[in-house]
Amino acid sequence: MNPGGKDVEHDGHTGYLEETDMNKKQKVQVWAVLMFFLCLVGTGMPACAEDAEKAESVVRFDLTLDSYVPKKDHYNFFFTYKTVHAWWDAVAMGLEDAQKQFLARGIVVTYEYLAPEVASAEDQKNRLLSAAGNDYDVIGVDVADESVISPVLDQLADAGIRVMTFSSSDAAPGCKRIAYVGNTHNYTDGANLAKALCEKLGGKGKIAVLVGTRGAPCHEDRARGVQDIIAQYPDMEIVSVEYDQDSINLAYDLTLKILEDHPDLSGLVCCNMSNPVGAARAVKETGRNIVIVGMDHDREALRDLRDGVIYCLGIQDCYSIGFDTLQVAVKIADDVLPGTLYPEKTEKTTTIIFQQDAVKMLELLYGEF
Amino acid sequence: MKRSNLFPVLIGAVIVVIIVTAATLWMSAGARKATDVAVEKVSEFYMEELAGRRSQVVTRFFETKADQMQRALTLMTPDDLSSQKALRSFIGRVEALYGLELFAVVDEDNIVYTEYATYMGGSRYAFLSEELSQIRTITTIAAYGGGKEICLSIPIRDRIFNGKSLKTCFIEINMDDIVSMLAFNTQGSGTHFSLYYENGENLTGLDFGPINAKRNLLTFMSQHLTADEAETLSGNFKDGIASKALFSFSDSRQLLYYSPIPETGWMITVLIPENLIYDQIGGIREETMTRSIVQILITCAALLVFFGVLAMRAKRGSMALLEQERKIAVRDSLTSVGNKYAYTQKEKTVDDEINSGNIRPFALVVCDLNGLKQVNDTQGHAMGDAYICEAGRMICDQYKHSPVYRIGGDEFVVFLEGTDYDKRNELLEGLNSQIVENAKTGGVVIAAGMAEYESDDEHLFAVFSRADKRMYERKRQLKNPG
Repeated sequence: MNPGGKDVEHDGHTGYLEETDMNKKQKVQVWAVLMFFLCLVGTGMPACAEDAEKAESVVRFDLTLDSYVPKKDHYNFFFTYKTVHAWWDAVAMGLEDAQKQFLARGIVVTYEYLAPEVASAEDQKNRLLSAAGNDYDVIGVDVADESVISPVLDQLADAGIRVMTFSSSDAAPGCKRIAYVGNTHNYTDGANLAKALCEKLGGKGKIAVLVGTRGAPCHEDRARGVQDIIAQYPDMEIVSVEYDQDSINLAYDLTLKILEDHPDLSGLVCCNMSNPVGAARAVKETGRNIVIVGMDHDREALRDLRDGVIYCLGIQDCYSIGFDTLQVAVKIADDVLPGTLYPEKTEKTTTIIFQQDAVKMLELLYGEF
Repeated sequence: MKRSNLFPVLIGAVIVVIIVTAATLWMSAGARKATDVAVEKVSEFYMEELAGRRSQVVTRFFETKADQMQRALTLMTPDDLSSQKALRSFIGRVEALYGLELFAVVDEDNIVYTEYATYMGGSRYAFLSEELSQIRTITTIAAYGGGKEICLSIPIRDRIFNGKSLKTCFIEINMDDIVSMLAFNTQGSGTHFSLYYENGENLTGLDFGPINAKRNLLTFMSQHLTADEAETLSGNFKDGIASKALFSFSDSRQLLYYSPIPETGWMITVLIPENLIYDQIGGIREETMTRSIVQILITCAALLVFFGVLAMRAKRGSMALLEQERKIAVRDSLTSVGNKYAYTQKEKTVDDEINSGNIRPFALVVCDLNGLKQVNDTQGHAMGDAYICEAGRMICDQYKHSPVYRIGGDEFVVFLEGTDYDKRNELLEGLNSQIVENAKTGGVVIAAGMAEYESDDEHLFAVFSRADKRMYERKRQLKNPG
């Protein structure tokens, strides 16, 4: 996360290699990802992404537990996130594989992984407070709105409940949550998408920004990153900023309205997973020539990337987020504080991919050839 | 028999052979065509049978699993629904009982309960948001991470957990289990199997013969079929219709058969090289064809022998008939000596020999009957004929080694050569003595005159004229004896 939202040049992709006791294999894997990102920043994203083979390093499915030995033989966790959505299903895959690996070691991990159908900070607050009454070893949350949820987390922490954040959105700075596993560079992700769009448009034109859930830190941070980059281009203008509340249908409707209101629109920046799907549907329907940049790995969006409807997508390593969330939760449950065994913020990567990477990504994520 | 008489026989033989050969070839072509149709039918039946058996295996597998799930639900007690811990314990027992990898229970809010986790299923399992079958629902999910999750669900009725109705339970099935169950490994047999989803995606992760597992079958086939055929194929996949498609790949013809597996949206596919069954059945066909060809050759040979023998016999018969006719043509029908025609032929031959200088010494005796008219007039023509015959017999008896010709009603000619020529005078005297005796007794009286060939004679007729003249001199002597 980039709380200030001003440090555009900060790459925000640094991992925690020297602070963990991850096994050598994992270190090598993380180094590979790091090197890829250094390549991305140093040589320009389009040129680096031309190497389709590197798509396999964008998301890892071969993670193994580190050498930490849990103190108990049974753990019970509660996780809640913003809304029922395929993005968090991908995170769930990492959780499940980590749980199976613990089970293979004789450690039973049970958990709840629940969310409302529609994103709601109030709903999330109620879920957290309700969970606090049960005897969970750790409560984890993907923060829907840091202004609403951060105080709740502090309240739980004060009550002696172990709380952590995970996935895409951390709590507000200073929150008493123990640790965070997930995307710490949403601002930079938004900035990088905006840079790709500006370069594609030659630094001029009118654009619109689609955002996900109003108040969700990850979405808001990305939107700020976009706005800061666009502000650096005098011939570019943001003509509209809309929130789809993580709904593809709403993203589609909003895009149609934007296209109608702005016949001279050149580009769309999509800050969450549902944005680019709805936007692409609308653009295809109207036949307009709009450059779309967006987030995440929705299958339909990847097909649109493959077909040239979407210019680029920022892919987050959801599986790895879920896998490490469970690892960190076990350590937190054992009252191991961030430090040598795990960082306070477990960094996860985002990779911008382009059309030439889409086929490989569809194969990697969905077995689609 | 003349050569021209054999021609129709040979033509007839050739025509018969051609007809037999053409008929046999026509029948062979018909047999080949019929065999091709039979092979196609057998191929289709073979593939249909293979696909059908495997389809039944899959269907029975799902039925068995659904039955197990149904029995599991009957084991669910109110205590099992008293808490999340109790529910998880129950789910764990069911998994252990039936050897399931994942057994899950779903409530009305699409919250999924498994042995170790409780999570939201609405976006992950699309089938939960659809109207579920009252019997069972089989769904294939392309899971994040590239795997295919096969979910078999059955409805749950009248069960409440945590204040909410349970609506369904499902199990996840590993595709590898189905693949191994279907015995797809037919390496070396030339027959390949696979499972494809209705959109053409490979479900097994295994190559389908020459088709890489990563390739979408419908996309692949669209590159090897006509646009109409490809459209039909896609339509059949979408609508779950069994059919077949023939296409070329790597210089060989391949036959693809596909058949839907009920309730799954899957197609079981069978691929064989077109020539696989043709090679097997074709061997029988070729053997039959070879036998037919041998039969044709034997038949033709037999026909040729038959017609050959027939021609030879016909020729022999014709020759005999010809000889008989020739004899009739040159023989006097009354006396059986040579007739006028025979004498004319002899005259030509001798004239040719005279002209060529190859003539040997010869003589002619010209004979004429005396008193024939009187016999005819007084005793009738029958007696006259007998009179002539007797004369001929008497001449032949005298000239046993020389040809005798009757060249007129009562006129004979004897051609003397060889020993008869050498004894010509002696023989003539003998004849005349007999005639003199006959004249006394009332027998046949013949006037005979003889002349020899002389070197300045240019024609036989010259010799004849001299002999004829002497015959008339003798005739006068016989009329005026003394």
